[in-house]
Amino acid sequence: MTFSPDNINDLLCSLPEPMLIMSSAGEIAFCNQALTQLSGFSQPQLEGQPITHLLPQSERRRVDVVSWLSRWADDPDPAQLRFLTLELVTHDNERLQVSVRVSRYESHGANWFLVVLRDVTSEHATLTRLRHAQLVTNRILAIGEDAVISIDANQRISFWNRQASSIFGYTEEEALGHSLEMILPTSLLASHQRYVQDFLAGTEGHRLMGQRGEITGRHKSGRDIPLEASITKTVIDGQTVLSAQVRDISERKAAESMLKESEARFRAVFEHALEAMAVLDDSGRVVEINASARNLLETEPSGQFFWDLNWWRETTPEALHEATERLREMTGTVINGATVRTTVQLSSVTGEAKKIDFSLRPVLNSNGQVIYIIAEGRDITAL
Amino acid sequence: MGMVRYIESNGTVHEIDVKNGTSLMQAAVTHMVPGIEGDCGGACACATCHVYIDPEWRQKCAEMDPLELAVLDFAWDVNEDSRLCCQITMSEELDGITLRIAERQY
Repeated sequence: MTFSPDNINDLLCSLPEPMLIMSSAGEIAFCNQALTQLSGFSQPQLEGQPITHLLPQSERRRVDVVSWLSRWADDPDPAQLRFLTLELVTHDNERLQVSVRVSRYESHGANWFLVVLRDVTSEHATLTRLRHAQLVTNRILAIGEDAVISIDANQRISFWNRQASSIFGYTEEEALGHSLEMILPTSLLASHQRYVQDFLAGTEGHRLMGQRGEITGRHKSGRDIPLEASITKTVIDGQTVLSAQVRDISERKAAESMLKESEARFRAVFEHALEAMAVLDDSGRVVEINASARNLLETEPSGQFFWDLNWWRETTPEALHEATERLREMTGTVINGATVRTTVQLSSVTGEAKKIDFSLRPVLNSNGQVIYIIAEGRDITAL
Repeated sequence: MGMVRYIESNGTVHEIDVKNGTSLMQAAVTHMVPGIEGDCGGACACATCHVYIDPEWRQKCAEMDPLELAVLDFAWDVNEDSRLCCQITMSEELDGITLRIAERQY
């Protein structure tokens, strides 16, 4: 069966795409039903009118519709056609964005333009919303404290933020498209590869910092960098993208090491002091006690009140009660901020009689509140 | 390498170091300067990287070719300071240039 339309006019009228035919002077000679539906104008309202009736000149854009349609007709597939849109104003004064396709048609020595219009208002709005959301997300990523790096299934870097440059020393340009190996120490390549494969094969969507512990990266200069990383995977059209949030923990490690050193120094002084020393909390419970003080006790203290420790031996229950109460009272005055210093008689674990110069002093915080009490005892038996 | 100052229409300033040879649209997109879209990727086909450049800097930029002039027809609020920054390539001479970004690109 051969297709031969009886009336070309009816055929154009039935086209599902909005279209019009324009004269070279810019007058609308014909418009189809789809265009009347899109624009809200009837055929008689459009035919015979200048094209600017439908695609008006904007006050803020200088685009001349007729000359652009003529330009596009001469160059049927210019790059601009994908991006440039014209503004169509409907009968109800609604502004729509339309992309156009144009061809020139010659008839009886005159030039005509066949113009197909497609409403892209909604696509455009969606695209703009997405772009703006992406801009906001990217700007957040740009100022983040952590490096954010994405790699494809072949471990090629596909995203690299500013902090990644600052941690690893490579610019975005130097990193994009390169293998992740550039930021890993050679000795860890195999184990990292196994880790990534394991994560790719697994069912977890992400692994957070702390689940893996410390890892090591390599700076452009070759220096190793202690890191922590959270990792997440996204599969788009069958392609996996792995993204990691990477934190440089060099400073934290240095601070931890300084703290350890400081703790070791404190412990050296505390544990090796000839004086018996104890640190109490603000209620009088023992927090720390040194070796010299432990020598005065038979049992290792564990969180008891200072006055309940076994300081006194070979004594009657009454005398023990009295001594305990006296120490409790003394501690009580120190909890309220006073300092106490006195001489006491004790016996060591081996039963030797000891004369002790004993003091209790409060340690205050910046608000003047007692946070610790320092108990000290100096053996003055021989003096 | 030189400094380029992008000023958003709301007055926010972004100062960015740009390598010689990089287009001023690409540098803005890479550094996420709001208001420069660069939809066509620098092909002078979309008019979404419209900026204004003062005459003293404009004369140091490469001259506008007929296609850029034509595509500018689709940009909003075009005036004699208007350029599409995808068509301007960073060079020593442009160190310190200021680009004022158009209020709207679509």
